[in-house]
Amino acid sequence: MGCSMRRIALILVCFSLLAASCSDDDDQTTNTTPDDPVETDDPVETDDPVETDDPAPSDVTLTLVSNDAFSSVAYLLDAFTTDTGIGIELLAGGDAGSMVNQAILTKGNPLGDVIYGFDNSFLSRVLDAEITIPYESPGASVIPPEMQLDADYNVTAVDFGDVCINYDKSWFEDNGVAVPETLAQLIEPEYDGLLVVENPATSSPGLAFVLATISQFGEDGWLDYWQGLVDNDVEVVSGWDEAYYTSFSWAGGGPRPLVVSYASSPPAEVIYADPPRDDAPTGVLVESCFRQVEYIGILDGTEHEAEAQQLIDWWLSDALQAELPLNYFVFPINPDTALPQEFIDFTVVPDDPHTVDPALIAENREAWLDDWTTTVLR
Amino acid sequence: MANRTQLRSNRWRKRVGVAAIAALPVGFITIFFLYPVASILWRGMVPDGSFDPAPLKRVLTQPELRRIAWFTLWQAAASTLATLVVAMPGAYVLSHYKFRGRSLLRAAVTIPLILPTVVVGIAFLALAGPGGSLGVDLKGSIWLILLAHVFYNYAVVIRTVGGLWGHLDPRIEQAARVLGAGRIQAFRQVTLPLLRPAIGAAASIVFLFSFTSFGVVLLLGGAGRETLEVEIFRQTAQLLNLPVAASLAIVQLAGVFVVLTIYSRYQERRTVELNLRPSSEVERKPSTPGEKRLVLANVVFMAALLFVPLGVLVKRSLTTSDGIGLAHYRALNNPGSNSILAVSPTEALTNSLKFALIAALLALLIGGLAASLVGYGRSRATQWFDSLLMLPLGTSAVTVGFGFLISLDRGILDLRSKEIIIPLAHTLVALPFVIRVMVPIIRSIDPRLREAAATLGAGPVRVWREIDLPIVAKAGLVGAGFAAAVSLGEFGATTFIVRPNVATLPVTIFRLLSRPGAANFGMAMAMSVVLMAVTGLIMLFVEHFRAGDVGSF
Amino acid sequence: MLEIKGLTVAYGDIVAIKGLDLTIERGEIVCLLGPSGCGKSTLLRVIAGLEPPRSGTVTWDGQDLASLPVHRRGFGLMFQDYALFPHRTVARNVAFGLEMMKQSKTQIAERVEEVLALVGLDGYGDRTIGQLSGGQLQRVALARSIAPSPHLLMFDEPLGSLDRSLRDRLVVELHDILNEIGATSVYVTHDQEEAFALADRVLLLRDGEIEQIGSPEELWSRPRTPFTAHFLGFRNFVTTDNALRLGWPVPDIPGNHVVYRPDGFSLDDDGAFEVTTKSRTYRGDHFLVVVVAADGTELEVVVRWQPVPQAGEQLRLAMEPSAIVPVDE
Repeated sequence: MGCSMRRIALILVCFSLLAASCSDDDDQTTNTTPDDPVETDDPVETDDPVETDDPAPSDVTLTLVSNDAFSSVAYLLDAFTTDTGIGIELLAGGDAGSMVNQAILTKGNPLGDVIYGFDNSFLSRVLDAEITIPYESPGASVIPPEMQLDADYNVTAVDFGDVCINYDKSWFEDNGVAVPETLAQLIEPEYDGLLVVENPATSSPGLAFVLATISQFGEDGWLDYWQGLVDNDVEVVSGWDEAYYTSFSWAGGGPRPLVVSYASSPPAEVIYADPPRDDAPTGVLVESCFRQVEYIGILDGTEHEAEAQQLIDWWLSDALQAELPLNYFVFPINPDTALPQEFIDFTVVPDDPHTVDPALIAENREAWLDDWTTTVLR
Repeated sequence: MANRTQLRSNRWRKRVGVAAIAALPVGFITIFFLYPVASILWRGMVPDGSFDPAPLKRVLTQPELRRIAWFTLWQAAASTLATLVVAMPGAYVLSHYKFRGRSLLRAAVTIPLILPTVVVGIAFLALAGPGGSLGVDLKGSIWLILLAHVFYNYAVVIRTVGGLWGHLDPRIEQAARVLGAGRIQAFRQVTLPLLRPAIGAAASIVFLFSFTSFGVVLLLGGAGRETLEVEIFRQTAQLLNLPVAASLAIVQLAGVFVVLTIYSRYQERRTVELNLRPSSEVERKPSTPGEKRLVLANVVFMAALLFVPLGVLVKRSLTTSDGIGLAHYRALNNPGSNSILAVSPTEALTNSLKFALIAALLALLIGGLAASLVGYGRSRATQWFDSLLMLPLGTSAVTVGFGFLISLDRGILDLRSKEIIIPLAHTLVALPFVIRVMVPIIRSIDPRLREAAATLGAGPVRVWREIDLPIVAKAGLVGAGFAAAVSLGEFGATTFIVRPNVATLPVTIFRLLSRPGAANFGMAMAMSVVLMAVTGLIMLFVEHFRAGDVGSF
Repeated sequence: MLEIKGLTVAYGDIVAIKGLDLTIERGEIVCLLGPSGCGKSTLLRVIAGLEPPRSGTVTWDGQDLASLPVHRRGFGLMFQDYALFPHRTVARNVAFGLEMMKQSKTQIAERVEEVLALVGLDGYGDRTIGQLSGGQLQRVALARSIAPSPHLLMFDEPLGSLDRSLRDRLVVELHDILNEIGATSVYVTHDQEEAFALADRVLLLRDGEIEQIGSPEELWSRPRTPFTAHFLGFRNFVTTDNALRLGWPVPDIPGNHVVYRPDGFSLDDDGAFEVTTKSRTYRGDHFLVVVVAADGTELEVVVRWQPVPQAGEQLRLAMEPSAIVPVDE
């Protein structure tokens, strides 16, 4: 028995060596395959990937890598398939950060053809890693220039949303406290113990809010501001659902009437109200808003570049843009796209939201997170 | 001479047999665990073709990371201890006394094991978080983490320890009593040492779960509390700092390895013949007032521990704007336009059940073979193999997930866009459960039964079919049931794997919870209750088959 | 005919059986007798094919069994504690061997019924194993091992865990059943009464070697060694030299030792035994009196006469010649 077990161990080692050698050789294998003379002998087997210039639309299926959030509204893409005959297969890659990092790790052998769903805080990482190939869509002219941060169109801005502090209207009415209007007010005694935020290390809106404070108070002043928030008993939780559904006084029945959420949250509260209601129970603190622009890009290594370009064209068209607010709760990139009434009545699109240069974010993300952690959590 | 040739050919046949049995589990664990994990660690530790020890050195010396490692370790140890202390009386009562509703209770205690962390987090915060209904805010304190870990792992102790306890020959303890040992003395001197293998096994599993705890720590620990698992996630998924992530993963694996080594030593001792009795000889109805009080107290305690948090979920799922009602359940059935549910809950349920079925079958097949290898073999190699199969439980999900991504990306192994990757990942998590259920059963089969069958003319294959299979098949069914339940509730590991967009129950709950709006929250709660109910039913089914078997979990 | 030649069995360094030779004739019932750990169960397991020998051969009717795996030998083995299949009913347990022979369902059912009747368990076929008493379990185990009509039936302490009275009754039944089916049998026990009641020949094993083999009468009338005599329950060992010195009677063909069976003494003024009473204990229908000779040699004496000697009383005893047993060594 002992002997045979050693054999198993041996097999095991062989397996792993075999597997390791496979992946090492693979680059060569893929390169040599097209030259293989055997393939040309057989006319049936000529499914040559290079023939993308002449696409047979009904045969092609694009693989779209997106974040988990978008995967829940994948049905929006059915219209694209109807319009073009090109199928869409959606891969869910976790949150935006995981997705981008996965795409970077698989550079050269991409997961799919198109990647969508990373915001400006991850933009530089995508651009630096050179995982996408440029494409300037004819429809790109509608994109406001301040949102299309990559002039070479390696990626294309397709929608945006603002991360803002939401407030519980009834709480402020009931308690006779004035709704704050500026970030600076939040460190005043009046607002002691009222705010809940997400940890920027584990939450995308959490990071956006930290960036908003950096934008507002500058690289020299933002930590002092956070110290003020800490002194004012700010609550930090790990994620949005926890902040919104347990700590926030409106939705979670918690003790805090101020929460870091989205500009689209108040209209959502009307649309998903139970029972239906005519006005939003929450509002947004305009000065706190940080703009998250979401981008799409064609992954380097795709075998369906033409179809991928078609998808980006379509993404910028009203066919999708008009559907985004009510389904995905983001704002269309095209300022001319009509907004649903709830988005006009119950929220604001700040004219001058906070932004931080993506390159600066990429450079300082880790240091900022460490500084924030030291100031707020230790 | 003829004799010796015969022996040699027998040995060869045996080796070929072992190799045939080993091929599938070894292949599976190699392709879907060792190779991906090795790939991602390699990428991190050997970035430019040469080993770079700097990050590992930094991880080992940096006070911040030492703090995290220390916290990970001690909270896991504390959780393990707390779970053992709290669950031992329950294990005793459930394995020794017959009372009405016992199998229901036994099925119910397993539900937490498979609930998605988000849901459990919400339940606990509603109870003991800020503004919680218990009136104390334990959020951010270690107590809430411990409570949640106890809640999650209670069933592990109940099943593993109770499984052995319910079959210990009661005469052994009686003998100690006759020899003058008091109740407590008899327990400490006789029962406890006999139970030690099971306690060791349970403790190891609870420790592994707590050591790699992610969601619970993130949700309930409050900001700033981090385990290695959380930090590995942050370094991998958020910062793409693979060298540091790999170093941390190596530290984590080292810790897990130590635990598994201890565990495997306990397993070794477990093979001591214990003269296990059928549970019918051990259990009885509580008769004295003392026994009745003991049973009642434990049932009440279990109810409090398990049903209060679960009850919160049920209550929330029933709470509508018009008071208590089934509106959220009706909404599940008719999501209409006023919902972000792209798929109907029935479809999500069908998907979940489909994956659960595949995962259960895979886990049964692979786990059954592996359990045979471990159960019949007594060599050091089989013990190593046993530990190896437990390793996925103690490995960071993000390490495995990113490992999948960069290793299973060529040829037929390119499963990144195949649905099968979801049940495969579930199988990896479910395997240790199946193996833990089956190995003790295989080991407990009296070897003389096989010998008796052989003398009556049954060949080796026939012996296996007539003796082992009927006895092990039950355990296999139980294991498959666990695998199905694990698959139904699995969310953590799969979130880190790029996967096709298929809505399962946990995924749908997660989606509903990531949107504002009272209706979405209510539906998420209703969906959680559906998940609980489905799991409970599977566990009841499992209970039905467990009856009278020696087994753990 | 079972032939064992030069059989040695060892586990690592521990030698369980050392160069054993044994021939068992067809229809013979041989009992392997010996203290626990003497290797008797091991011998059984080697014959059954459950244990490989280190050296030596086991043949059945001239065929070497080494290449024949356990399930093809066609032998029956009844285990200590029975090893009944807990997941099968009584009938399905008994049917197991027949199923292995691929008999038809009706054939099996008939045979099961027949065998269950033979062991006195008619009507118990549908019971589960858990519902049976100790004696019933034993009968099921017996039925299971004889159902396929094995060439050779082996028993490994089959009555070991039963109480005395049940045991006595079952030995008689077993004897009848074995005679009825006429199977060659090897029976392992550590109880000499069981062995003597059943066996045509008794084989006494000591540390893996044959101490003595013979019919029960042979063993009883002429134990070859003190070990055999001791094991058969004999008392009052005296070396022949010592006996002659004391003037005690010795057999016509004396061995090294003499045994004076305790129940062979009588009170006789001309008796050769001049002894002093040391102690006496009441034993129901008799007293057991310990007496001492002049040189300190002690003897146990069964006393059924009156008055029973008191401690310190001087006695003269005589010995019935048939109660004087020579021991060769």
